[in-house]
Amino acid sequence: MAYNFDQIIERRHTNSLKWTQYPADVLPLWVADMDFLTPEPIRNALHTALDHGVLGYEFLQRQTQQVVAARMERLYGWQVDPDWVFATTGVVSGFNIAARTTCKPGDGVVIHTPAYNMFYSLYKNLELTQQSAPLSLINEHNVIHPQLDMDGFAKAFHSNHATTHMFLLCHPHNPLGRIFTYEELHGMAELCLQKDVLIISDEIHSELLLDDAKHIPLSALSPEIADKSITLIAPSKTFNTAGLFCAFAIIPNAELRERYKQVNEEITGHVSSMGLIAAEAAFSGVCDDWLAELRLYLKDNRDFAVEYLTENFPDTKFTIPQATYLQWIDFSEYIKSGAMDKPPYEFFLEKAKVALSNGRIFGEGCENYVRLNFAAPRKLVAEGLERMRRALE
Amino acid sequence: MWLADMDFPAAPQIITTLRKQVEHGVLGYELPSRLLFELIAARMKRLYGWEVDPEHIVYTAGVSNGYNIAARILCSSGKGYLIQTPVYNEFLDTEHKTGARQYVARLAQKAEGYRIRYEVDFDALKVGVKKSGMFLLCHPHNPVGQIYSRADLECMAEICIKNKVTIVSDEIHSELLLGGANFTPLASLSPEIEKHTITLISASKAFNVPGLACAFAIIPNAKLRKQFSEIGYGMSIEISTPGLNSARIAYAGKADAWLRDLRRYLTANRDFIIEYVEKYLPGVRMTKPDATYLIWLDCAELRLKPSPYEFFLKQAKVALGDGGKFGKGNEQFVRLNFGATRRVLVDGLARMRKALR
Repeated sequence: MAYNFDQIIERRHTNSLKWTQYPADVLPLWVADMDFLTPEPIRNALHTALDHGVLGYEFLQRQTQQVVAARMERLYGWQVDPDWVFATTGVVSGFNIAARTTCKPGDGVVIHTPAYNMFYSLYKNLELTQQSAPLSLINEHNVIHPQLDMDGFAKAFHSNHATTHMFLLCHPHNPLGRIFTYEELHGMAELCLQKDVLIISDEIHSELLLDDAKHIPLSALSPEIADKSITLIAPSKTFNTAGLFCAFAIIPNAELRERYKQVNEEITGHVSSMGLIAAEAAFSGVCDDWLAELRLYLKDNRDFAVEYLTENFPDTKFTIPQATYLQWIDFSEYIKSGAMDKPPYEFFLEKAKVALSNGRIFGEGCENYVRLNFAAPRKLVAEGLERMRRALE
Repeated sequence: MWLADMDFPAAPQIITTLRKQVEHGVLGYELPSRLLFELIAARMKRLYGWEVDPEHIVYTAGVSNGYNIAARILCSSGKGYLIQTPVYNEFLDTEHKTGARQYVARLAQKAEGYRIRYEVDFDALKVGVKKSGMFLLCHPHNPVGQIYSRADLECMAEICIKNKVTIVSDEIHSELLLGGANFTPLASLSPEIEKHTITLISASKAFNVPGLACAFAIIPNAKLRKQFSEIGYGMSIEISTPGLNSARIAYAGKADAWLRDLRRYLTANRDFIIEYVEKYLPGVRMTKPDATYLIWLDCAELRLKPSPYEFFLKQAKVALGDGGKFGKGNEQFVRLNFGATRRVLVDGLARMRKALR
């Protein structure tokens, strides 16, 4: 390997959210950023901007739009017109703006559950009605296989006494790490077209692929689907630039694009120049050899976690994510048996001094789950799991 | 010489810090630290003797984001907001961005030879506040560069408080003082005024980091602060780490020596322009800004077609701020940004002179 992902980089002296939220004796394996260096070409691009030194107002450049479009073509054969590409501070602001273009208070928005916690904030922000389509968690021995339940999905539409105006998809899925297949995407999209529902596809994890499973952008399925959807992508997860806050919305439909632009102006959204610079470098392809190695490292970390859990936590059930660096772990059996006297998030925080993401924030009925972030040097992941094992002894 | 950023590098202490951040190399999520808020409060105390509780500070993506949020709170019950024109175009645009109705109390222009000054029209203000939930003050004022006197500030505040109107004071230019000018934050005048004021500040203008999109609102009123945070959250306001880091360095005072030099340079630029315009651009009248790097040029006497902005753009190849964007009746003005090197400034002015021949 040309890149050393084993290197442990001290982050406590920074304002890192991950490393400062808990006391110093707690090992943080929670919020979704990586404890790895951002690849060098991105750091070089930022250095060049700092050498120049004038940090004035900057706006999305044609060149950046072209870089994003070219990457979609290269990775997926998806033809994106550079004009479709908008910069936005993050996918969260992206789906918030998207909802403002289309939904009024009371309107329904369908999501799969469990869901990325920020999906829920959308309902509160815009007074929308939550319409949940639970993903089925099929257990096979210790392994959780998340499955799309098409009937359940269809039933979510217009449920809760509200008309559905938007479907917010998380693809690949956070926290379950599932990549939806062509058939699944097609089925979901067709239903949305029939019901005239806008699809927002949060594809922020699309480049963090761990196996052979390929990612297909939902909008790439057909021009009709593209016309009814907004794709949200960002370099932030893949290239570890979350702190720079820059993401992109790809909006093929001209009218929708105009509304998106207008709402973005209305709420005075502003992407930092450093974010734009990093994004252009990230998506240009110069970091792709780094990314190839990162994926291998993350895959090994995942496999390590799977093996460790299998051996040492025989009563857990867990996902084997196809994408993301996030693993969803079920500790219900330990609660049932009394081996754990409180939900796993609290238990491991207190007894193991390991901070995981609390299952509760991903949806109702998830309090016996935690989400493990394994994007850290192997040694830290191993130590975290080791601490968790000892806490259960 | 139009948009309000400077052609200078950001303060070197800021560049060094951002460099260190990039060298550290993990660019993950960060939150504004308690330290940052303490540094802001300490700076308010040091510069103005104003005691600010760090808990009263909320981050925003920019001052325009700040008054956009404020308008959504303060103008929600059908009330409008009041501005004094000419004024920064975002003040005007807040109407269509938030749906709040706009009321205008125009500043009164006073001319004395080639100099122009603006005075608060208190009668217009008294009428305007009746229909408003928010008075959006620009202090120091963009584009006219004036710092309001204590008496004016107190009088404006009194009118607002009497009419239960909250004042949003955009003080983004407060650290760009020219000559011997002093600045007093509106909210520091009295606890009563403070209670009715949202103060918006940012390191972006003085330290030249507007591209990093980071500003702060000081909101002593707890209820208002809570509403402000909630609406900001609802807009998913996210501040980049370079933005937070640059603010930390600026408010810690680490770039103050640089800022002193910058002010001297800008003051000399201002004085140079005034002399130049008097000598070589006859018929143009102008402000003498106490703050900002903006000078407001009244070209009405020249009768330039189709407008001074278009004229200088086409005939002189100089892009200035179009007066028409600063509110109705200002079409004969242009705003010149002198946050540039003297050489560029000389070149721009010489082009304008030539075009006028």
